[in-house]
Amino acid sequence: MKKFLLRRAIYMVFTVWIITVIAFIVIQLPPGDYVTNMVTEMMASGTDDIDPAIIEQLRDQYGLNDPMHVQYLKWMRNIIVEGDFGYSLAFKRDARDLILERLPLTFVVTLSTVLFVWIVALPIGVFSAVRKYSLGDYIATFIGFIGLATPNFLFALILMYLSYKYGGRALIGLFSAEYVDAPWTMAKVFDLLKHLFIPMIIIGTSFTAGLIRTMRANLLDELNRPYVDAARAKGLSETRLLWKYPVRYALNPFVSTIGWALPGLVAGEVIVSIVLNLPTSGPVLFNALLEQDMYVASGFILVLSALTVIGTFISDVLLAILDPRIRLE
Amino acid sequence: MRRGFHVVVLMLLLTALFGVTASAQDMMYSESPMLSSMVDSGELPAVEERLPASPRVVEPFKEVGQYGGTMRVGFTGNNPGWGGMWYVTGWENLVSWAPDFSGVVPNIAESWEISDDVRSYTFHLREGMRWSDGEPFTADDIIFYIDDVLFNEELLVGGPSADWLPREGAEDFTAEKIDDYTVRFNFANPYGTFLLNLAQWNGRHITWFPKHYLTQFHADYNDAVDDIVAETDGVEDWVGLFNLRASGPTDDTNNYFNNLDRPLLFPWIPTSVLGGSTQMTMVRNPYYWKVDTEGNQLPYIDEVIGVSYQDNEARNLALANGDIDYIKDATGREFFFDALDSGAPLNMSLPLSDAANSNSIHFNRNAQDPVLAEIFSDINFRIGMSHAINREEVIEIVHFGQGSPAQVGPVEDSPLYNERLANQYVAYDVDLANQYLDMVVPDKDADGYRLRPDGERLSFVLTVVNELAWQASWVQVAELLIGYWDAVGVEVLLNAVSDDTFTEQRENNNLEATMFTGEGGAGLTAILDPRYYVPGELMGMYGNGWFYWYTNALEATQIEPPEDIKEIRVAYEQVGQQPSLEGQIEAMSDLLEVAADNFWVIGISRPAPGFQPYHQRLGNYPDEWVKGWVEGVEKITYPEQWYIKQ
Amino acid sequence: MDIIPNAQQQFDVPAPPVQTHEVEVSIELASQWKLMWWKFRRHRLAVIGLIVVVTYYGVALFADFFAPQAATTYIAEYVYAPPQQIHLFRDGQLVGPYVLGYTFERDPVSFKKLFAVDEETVIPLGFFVHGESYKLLGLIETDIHLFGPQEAGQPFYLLGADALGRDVLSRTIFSSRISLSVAWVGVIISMVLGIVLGGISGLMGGIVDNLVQRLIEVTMSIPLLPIIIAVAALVPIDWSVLRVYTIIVFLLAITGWTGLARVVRSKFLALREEDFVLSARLDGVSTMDLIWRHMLPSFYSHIIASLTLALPGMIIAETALSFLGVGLRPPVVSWGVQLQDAQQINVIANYPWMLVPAFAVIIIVLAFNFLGDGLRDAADPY
Repeated sequence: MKKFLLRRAIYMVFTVWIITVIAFIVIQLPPGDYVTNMVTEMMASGTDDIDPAIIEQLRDQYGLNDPMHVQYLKWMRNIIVEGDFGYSLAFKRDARDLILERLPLTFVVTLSTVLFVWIVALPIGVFSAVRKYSLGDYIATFIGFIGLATPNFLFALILMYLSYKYGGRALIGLFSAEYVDAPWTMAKVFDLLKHLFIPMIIIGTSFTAGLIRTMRANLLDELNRPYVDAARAKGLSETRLLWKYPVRYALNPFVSTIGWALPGLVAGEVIVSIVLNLPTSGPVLFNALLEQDMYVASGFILVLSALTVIGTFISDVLLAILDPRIRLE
Repeated sequence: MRRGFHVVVLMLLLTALFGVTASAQDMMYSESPMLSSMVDSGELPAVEERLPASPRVVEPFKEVGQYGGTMRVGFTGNNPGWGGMWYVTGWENLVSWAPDFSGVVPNIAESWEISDDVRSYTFHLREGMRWSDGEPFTADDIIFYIDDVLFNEELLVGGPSADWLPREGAEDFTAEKIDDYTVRFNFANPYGTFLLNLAQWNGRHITWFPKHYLTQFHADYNDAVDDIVAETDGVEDWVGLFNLRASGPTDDTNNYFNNLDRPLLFPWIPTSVLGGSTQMTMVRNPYYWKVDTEGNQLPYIDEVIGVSYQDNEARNLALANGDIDYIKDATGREFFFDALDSGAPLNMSLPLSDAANSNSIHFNRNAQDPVLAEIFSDINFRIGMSHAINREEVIEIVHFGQGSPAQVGPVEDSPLYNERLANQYVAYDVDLANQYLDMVVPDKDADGYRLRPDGERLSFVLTVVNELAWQASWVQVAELLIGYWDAVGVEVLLNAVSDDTFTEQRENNNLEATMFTGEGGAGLTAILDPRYYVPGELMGMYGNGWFYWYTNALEATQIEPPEDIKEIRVAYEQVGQQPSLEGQIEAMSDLLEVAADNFWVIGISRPAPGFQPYHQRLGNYPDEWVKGWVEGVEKITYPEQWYIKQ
Repeated sequence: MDIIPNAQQQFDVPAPPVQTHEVEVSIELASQWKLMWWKFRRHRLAVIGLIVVVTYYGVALFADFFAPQAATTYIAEYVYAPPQQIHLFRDGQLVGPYVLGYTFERDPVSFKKLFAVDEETVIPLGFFVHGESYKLLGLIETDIHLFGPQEAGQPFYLLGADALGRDVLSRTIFSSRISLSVAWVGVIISMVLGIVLGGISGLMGGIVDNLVQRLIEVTMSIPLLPIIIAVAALVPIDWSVLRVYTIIVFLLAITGWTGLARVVRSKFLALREEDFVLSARLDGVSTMDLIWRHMLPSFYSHIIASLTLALPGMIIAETALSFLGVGLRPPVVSWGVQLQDAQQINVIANYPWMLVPAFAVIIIVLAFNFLGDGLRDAADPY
């Protein structure tokens, strides 16, 4: 076990490192750099006079003229030695602060979405496995799948518009205006919960289908195992029969989805957060990529991928503990 | 709105000769209750001591406003400045535009004198005027900028360079301090359009650098500057540090929104930066140097919140909600008028665009394919392509049926109006188009497409910015154009790109044909922004390499213009050197004749009227105004005199 | 942070445990397919899904025939015209299907077009009418359209007009070509990658397995978004639409393969211990033969199901990329490009028929999902 943990830990570091290298290269692949973006912003505003000589000087000043490997090594060194993630050219701030400020609400949105998905998907999954091909199965499945089939950005836009048209005001953001910069109070938490509802549904519904399907398949597997027949033969009631072992075993693979769920949820979160204007990491990351604000972008990718890898690791270990049938490699 | 040419001339002559002095003597000043309490508790000096001896008097647009309130401004993206805050809360130069865009009026400068040869300008500053931290603003601040920033070889490695300073003879420019409140600028060449440039974005740097604050970041003043560099994130030398703290000279001016320490001359100053939350906040500058006609210190509004939106649609809805008071460039005209009808808390203003045209279509004579470059250089080709466009239809489809077919040229009531430039070749006439095109590319292939002289099919890429946020309709226009041109045997491929990609392609001269805005319509804007009349300007993508040759940047993109183009540039330099406005107009008019001869770019339509929804609690917002970059976008509506109706 | 969570999720379907008694397939293949079909039919939603999918692909293949107009045909006066109603009776008499034209005026303030039905302009409709000519399947020159105005060129907007006065219905039909084929190409690439890498990994084990495992881990953890943005920006301006489109599909495929690879690997790990594999080896069957002829067929059904379930993820992803501005762009006609025009509150509020492509997407995605569900159920040995 110890040996296994150690080996996995080494792999994890290796994986994260590879990801940072790839991410760092990829972020700088598009032609142009942060200064190009600045020029574009000025151009979009209408300015007719941008001295190209000054633009070149700015590139030097920002260190954008250094070769890529020099930039990468500098970045890595600062992270390892000083915990310094670099500097946001767009925000003129420490990239680490920016990332840390955005992460908590990202987790709030993501975790509440996971919760929502489980609450919706598990009962539907169990139901449609037990009542296979019944009308109820069809209806439940249909409801579970409709969210998957609707493009998230449209869903969000339409909900936003409907809340404006029929609810009197559009639900935008995670907080009402008066709470945005307010310190945390119970009132602010309630306000957050009120706003959390819409993104939770939009992001969540695109994942319920997958989980319903997994649950249903797993449960069908279990229900056909001999021990179920044996239990039934011994006169166990159908409900107890169902919940005692099959559902529990069918749940096991869910544990393993926790880790992988993160990137998927964050992906769903980007688009929804852009449309609904949520103060989460998605929009900042997306903008950082477009603007080539590279330390913010690389920093976010580093943090998110590290979390994913760690999450996977934890869920693998959990799975091994929960289900003795699974042996560690 | 465009009061015509005589008013402009008169105003400019008056201001040029005498300057206009605000008669603010014997005024009793009042201040926001927010500040009164600070004065009472001794945190602030009295309002009389905070204001200059003669403050700038602003006449409220509609009525004297009420103090107080928080204005919420929504912007798109991560940059409050470019997102719109700069135009509302910044943009204070030595001079400013009159609210009706009829000319230049005093602003930071109380008055000025101009020498007869228009080489020397003497500005009188306002005695007792202060930065937002209470330190005096004097001639020393301006001299600091000139001597220690503009002429500092580390801060500006390429020698003195500023948007207001003509490149020709920049080295020989000098500025002298006459006394604490008087500075004189001496230009190497006559510079008749200096004041017009000063009112624009171009003039921002002169009053931008608070010496008392910035000397600590300047190597010439602080020997220990490296210590500050060492403890500051993101900078590696004092030049980077200085730029970061000053938001200039090379750094983005708008970065002052990220610096809470920096003294400013603006109506509001930032109190929190954008980052973890989606808002940044600003508070009134207690030392702001403007008053209304009753002596109330401006601004009326106490606080400003900038709300960042990632997507335009949420921002539009937030305005319709009443969550925010103002957004720059609302989109969805029908939606907002419907919202207005159904009781959304909005008012509607109708800004007039200062543009000459809805679009400009550029055929890059510097295209990398020499055969294309040759064809694009032939005026008959462009005339043919112009006649092939069904402008009425474009107007009907894309511009709500508003506007009228036109080329890119100053508008009718501008003193620079040139009938030929505005209206030539606008008729939709396929036969005529074919006749002109036959003069250039007569042969056709089996599919009916025209052949280039080298026997290949004439086919090129039309690159168009595809950004919903600011150019939603361009791709539609392009799709129509491609249909029209297809009908005359010219194959055009559409390439819709993001605006960043567009910049990149422009900088690498990867453009063949492209489409952009149509600046240079109202008043004198053609002189100030001649990009479509004088080749060799930024965004003059009909000769994309020429601009880079003139600015000597991006070597790979530079293309030396032919002699006749160079002559036009020389003639344009001379427009700015004319001492009198009449002289400038006359010289520019000649150049516009040349522009008509050359037919640099193709236009579609006069711009359709704009619309500007704003929260109905916002007072003193004009019902009609001239909107454009030169005018400082919203700045010409004097946001310091907007107020929140209580 | 991949942009297509769905595609990846779909592949994550846990594989049914390997059942040895099922793997006598090579002899009784036909009867097993028959068995599957019989099981499949019990899943009614899946049957409906199959019908919808077949219909969609049929319409896409013969888009020119099914669409009343070409994708680029427009009438300037009919910009944002609302859907026309089909009438059968006129003055109490059955006259066959017809629609009425519109007259319009502009609101002087908001400039919004106000359409009024023009009772005078009767546009009779018909089946198999002559319209714009096209080449059926790129071969047969014809001008017959399934339905449309009897007189070619008359305004016919069953589902309204878009911002340029083009027929939303026709464009939605033409869009299906790109959108449905994007999905296929992407899924096939990820399938091949998944089977090959997963197979090698499971069969060879050891260091190769370890390397592939790391590759899977990296691919699944790395955000796809920056890669897409980078590539979208790198495409040269004179690249044809088709090439850009291939690149995007390739990108979508890059992340799609990992789920299947894991399934294939675990299958192979289990299978290689099985008697029939061992005996095949002893018989001297080559490794490649072993994979393709002996091992894969034992879970073809699972692969097909995974594939069917991965397709809708690709379709959704195409629209998401267009929304972010890094996907397909005009003049390409795809559902994503069409929906780009609909992503404004102004359009949703005033011209809701621009959302028609969204319904096309929802229906096909649901259909694929149910079809995949049915296939998997059928493949299950229970």
